[in-house]
Amino acid sequence: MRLFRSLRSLVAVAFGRARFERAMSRELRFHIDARTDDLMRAGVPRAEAGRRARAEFGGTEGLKDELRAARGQRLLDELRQDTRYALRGLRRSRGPAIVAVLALGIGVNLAVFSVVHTSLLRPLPHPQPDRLVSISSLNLESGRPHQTAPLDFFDFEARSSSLARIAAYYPPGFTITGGAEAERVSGARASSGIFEVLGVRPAIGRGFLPAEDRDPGAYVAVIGHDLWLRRFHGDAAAIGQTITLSGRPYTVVGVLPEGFHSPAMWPRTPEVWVPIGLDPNVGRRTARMLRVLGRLRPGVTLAQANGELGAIAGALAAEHPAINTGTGATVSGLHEQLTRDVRPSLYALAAAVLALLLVSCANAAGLLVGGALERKYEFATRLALGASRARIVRQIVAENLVLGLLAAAIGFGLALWTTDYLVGAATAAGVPRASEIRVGWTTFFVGVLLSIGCSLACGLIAAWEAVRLRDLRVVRGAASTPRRTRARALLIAVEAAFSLALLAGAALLVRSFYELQTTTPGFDPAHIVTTRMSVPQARYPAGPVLAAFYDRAVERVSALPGVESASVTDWLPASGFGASLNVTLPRGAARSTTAAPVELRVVGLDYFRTMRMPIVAGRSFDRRDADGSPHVVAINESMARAYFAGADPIGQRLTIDRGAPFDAEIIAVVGDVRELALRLPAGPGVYAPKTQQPWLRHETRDLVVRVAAGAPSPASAIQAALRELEPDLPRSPVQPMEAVIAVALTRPRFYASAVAAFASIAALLAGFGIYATVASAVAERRRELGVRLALGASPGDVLVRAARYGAAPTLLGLAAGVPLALASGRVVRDQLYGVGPADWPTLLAVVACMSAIGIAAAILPSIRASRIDPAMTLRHEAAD
Amino acid sequence: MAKAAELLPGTLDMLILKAVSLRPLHGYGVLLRIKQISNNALDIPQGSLYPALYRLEHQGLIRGRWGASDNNRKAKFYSLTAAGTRRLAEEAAGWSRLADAIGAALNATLPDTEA
Repeated sequence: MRLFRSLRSLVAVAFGRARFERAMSRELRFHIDARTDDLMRAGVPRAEAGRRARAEFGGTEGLKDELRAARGQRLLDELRQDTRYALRGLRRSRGPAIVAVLALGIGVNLAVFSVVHTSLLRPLPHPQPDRLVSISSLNLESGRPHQTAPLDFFDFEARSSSLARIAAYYPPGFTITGGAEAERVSGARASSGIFEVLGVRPAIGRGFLPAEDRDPGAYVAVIGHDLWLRRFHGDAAAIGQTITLSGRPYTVVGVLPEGFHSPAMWPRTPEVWVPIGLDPNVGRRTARMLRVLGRLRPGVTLAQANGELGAIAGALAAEHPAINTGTGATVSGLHEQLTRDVRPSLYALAAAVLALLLVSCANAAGLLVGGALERKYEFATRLALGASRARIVRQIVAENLVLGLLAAAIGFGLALWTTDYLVGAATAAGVPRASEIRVGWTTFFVGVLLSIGCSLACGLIAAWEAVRLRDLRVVRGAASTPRRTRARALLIAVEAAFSLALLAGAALLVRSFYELQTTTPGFDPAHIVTTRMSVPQARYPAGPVLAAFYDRAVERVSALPGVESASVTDWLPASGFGASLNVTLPRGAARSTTAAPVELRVVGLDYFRTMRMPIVAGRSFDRRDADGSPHVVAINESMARAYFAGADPIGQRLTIDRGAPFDAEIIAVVGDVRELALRLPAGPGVYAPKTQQPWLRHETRDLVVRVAAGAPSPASAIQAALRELEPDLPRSPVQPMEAVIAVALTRPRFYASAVAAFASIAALLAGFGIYATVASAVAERRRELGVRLALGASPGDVLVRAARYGAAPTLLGLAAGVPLALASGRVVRDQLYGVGPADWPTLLAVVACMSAIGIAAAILPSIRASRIDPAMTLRHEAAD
Repeated sequence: MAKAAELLPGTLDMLILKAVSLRPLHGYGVLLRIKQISNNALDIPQGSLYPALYRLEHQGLIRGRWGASDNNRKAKFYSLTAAGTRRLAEEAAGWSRLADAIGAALNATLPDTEA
């Protein structure tokens, strides 16, 4: 009760100080006024009465102090003082600071470790994951792997003996209709070996039969557990029932076990699996569309399999020289292949956090050495009394282990706490298996190991410094601190060097990100919205029916209010997807007449206008370019430059190989667009009108709509219009084009911001380390500095002398850090865009930044040194 | 006028509590009231009145409220809280016992045991 009252009063005081002061003055004034009135009533003249009243009352300022104290304000002031002492104490007792510094370093490392461990180190969630391989066809000229043609796959399967099982798939999405609302699900058309390769057996029902591989009429499906629950309520009677996939009924023959997922399946674990159903009689050696997975036979090495598949590919090239010349095959470990893209980025991230750990270790070690020096009397006395050095070292290291383990626990908590954020960020950044990220036992043990390593390293450095004090002069208190700061100077230098390297890497990544962000994709993404039209395939077979649907959709949407124009394309620009095409250039073209792969986009009539792509020469596609009229194409500027070298390409003809070769006339040159990815400059590219064969059969399902500036978003109107055309169209978001492009930025943003955060922490830690070292050096050398002042040194001299304890090793560290910074540029080289790994302006900027931090951190505590009162220190000396 | 008596330590708080127990008073009023109820026998040093008031308020024994004085000035009026009423009763009882004891002690005569 009493406590509560005091607290309330304290709170009132804390928040009502000004009001309290006003009220107090007013109350005292009233008292004097009232007394004056009484005196006047007794006949004293006004002026005299006022004077006497004030005199009787006495001075008010001293009284006010008393009143403040009486009211409990003193409590508050004392509280404030206590806090200050406690903080000072904390600064003295270095335990909490050491734990905090190590916990930060360990926590960040554990968080990144859990990501790296999940995606790079943990085996794939399949039985005998090390036997899983990925088989790709290979462009022998460029050395680049690509997907495999169906007939090549069947030949691999028939002829290979190094693979126990081999399977192919491609990942079409499916639209499920019938029953509840239409729904778009991930799917795979896969050959019969797929479940054996992945090592999964359907929980109920069966997988696929080998006969179904070559039977285009096999309408059976295996479904995932979640879909089974969703659509069939987990009823075992689902087997034998039908499910309508993209407008066609399939018989459910199997359900996969609960929790099955496979990072091996691109782009995600399918919910619906149907037989690949390839007709072997159709010439399908050119359509390179299959992803091939396999399982090595026991005892067969990767190299043997690689050799065998290469030989098979060689034989195929000899058998089908027109198509397969220059096509090889390569086998790589599936895990290795899945993580190939992301591996350099994740290693860079791991390197960054290890550098940060090094900085925090050096920091902790610096604090420890300071602590050991403060206890120098204790250690020196014990050594003088016969304690062994080993005994002292053991004591310091043991103390440290406790701190380290505490730090590991806090760091583990930190990592645990950031898991959700990590998973989200890693998913957005396209880290494989991000959903599997767990901060679990492995992470915990790694944390414990890290902390033991750090404590041993720091403890040994501190212990080494402590046992060098075997000197009786220390015991007598006479020894000053000879060469004491050498270890700490080295530690500062290490911190500065690695912080610099981290900052350099971060600066390069951030610059790359901004360069990328400001890159123009070659069209105007502002005011464009886009959506995907995934029509049920069965009711809209590829060909005129499908083309007519797209036409109607464009027509309807173009007529909506606020819409300037609309068109369709097969792949949105900068989306990371695309198709390529082999073209043969006409005789007489500048470069050659051989086939060359170029980027292909099949687009609607108003595409260039809708996207605001400049038409450099020629004309846009229009109604004249209908089915049956002469074939036309547009090419981009890169293609014009590369293959026509100044000659006018308009009116020239390209030979296009789509199974049956045909000629097409070039009618336009359009501006370059970064079709494949924002970070990849446009290469030679061809645009074909979707109104002509064979493009008529093409799925151009991405609708692009240019909205008039200032008009409200027509998103819901577009969705309504499309649903009116086809009620079974699954709902697909209408996105601004800018958002589509922004997706391409999430990955560089993730790495840039992560490394930037780590670098900032490292720089702050380094600054803190420098500050702490200079502060304790100043404290230790009070006498020396005092004597200097007494002998006539100016405060400025003393300040410089003190600051040098920190500034000199910092600058030394920065010099040593430059090669490290260059190395960090090489580590992040693959992620750079528009800036080189050794960018001197960037490097200079980070050196300047780190120098500023180091010098500021060294000067702050030195100011105290320059304010030492020489008389005080000398007296202190005498008292000693 | 009789010479004002010296205030015993610890009695000021009790006197203030008594003074404001009759009706709410401002600081100056407390001073006058103590003079009045002690028949001018007790004179409070002005410098110790306010610290005592503030202390008592902080302890929750009295409560200050702003109001209008007789000549319509704004003044802070103190009144007794429930805790203050209890404390006053305890102190008064304690004081009476003490006063009785001291009175008895001072009036005592030496028993003639040595005769």
